Amino acid sequence: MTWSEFFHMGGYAYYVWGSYLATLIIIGGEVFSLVRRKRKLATQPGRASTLPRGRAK
Amino acid sequence: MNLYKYASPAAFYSLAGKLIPWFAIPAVVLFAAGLYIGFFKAPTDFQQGDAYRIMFIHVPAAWMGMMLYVLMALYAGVGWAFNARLASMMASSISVTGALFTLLSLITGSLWGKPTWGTWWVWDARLTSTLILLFLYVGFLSLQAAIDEPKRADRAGAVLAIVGVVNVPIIYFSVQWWNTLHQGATIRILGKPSIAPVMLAAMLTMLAACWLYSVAVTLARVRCIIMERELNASLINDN
Repeated sequence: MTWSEFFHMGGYAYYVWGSYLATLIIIGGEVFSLVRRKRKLATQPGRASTLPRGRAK
Repeated sequence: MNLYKYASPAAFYSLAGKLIPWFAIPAVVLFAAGLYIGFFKAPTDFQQGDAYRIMFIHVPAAWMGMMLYVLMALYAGVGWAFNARLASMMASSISVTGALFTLLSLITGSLWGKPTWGTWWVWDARLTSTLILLFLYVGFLSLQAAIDEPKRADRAGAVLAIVGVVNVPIIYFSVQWWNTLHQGATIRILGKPSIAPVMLAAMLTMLAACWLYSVAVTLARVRCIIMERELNASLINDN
């Protein structure tokens, strides 16, 4: 099997890669929004000191 | 070790932080392994061609949507019955991930339906009940977002979550109870699975990865929720 055959997915490329692209967007989006939510909490005035430094010891 | 200690959100905060990498790293490894088996080891299906490879994410996503719902309802119920704040926070945390997996199962199902059934969507029992599952999640999330006082929000969410559990067996058995376009179960509780072992291996690896991922993000989110709800500096600094 060549790479171009692989990407062609027997003619179902849009459906197969579309599915995995959707997966990537959803999982990536969830992780990204969590990182942002955490960062926002850490930088809020008055709250920074309440966060344990780094991950918990 | 006194396990009851961890029922306190502040104590759980640091425990959750320690646990996250133990779930996140294996999740990444298993996602890679599952995709490798699914795309390089599993052969092309003689009926569906390569379109069937959508299954490796579609089936785990659909299962996660259902299982996380049950888990969310359990946590919400425990939080309500025993007035356990941490359990209610876990329910809120799980609801986001559960909703996302349900959405993903609908999207990938649609992308699989088009080439195999010739349509993106049909109002068939399996698809409709899964859409209802997504609406239940969305209802839970909006209800929680609409009520300012956490305790009341948790209670209202719990009622909705518990009533909605009835939908999960309906989804699961829908392919047996009604005539449906959706294919039957690939894995049966009793009896042999209906797919080749290598395809099954890819799917189960992806399922394990999705579970580990869900635990990791749920713990990360519950840490944010604890932080947002109980900003009692002294509590969290003490451990």
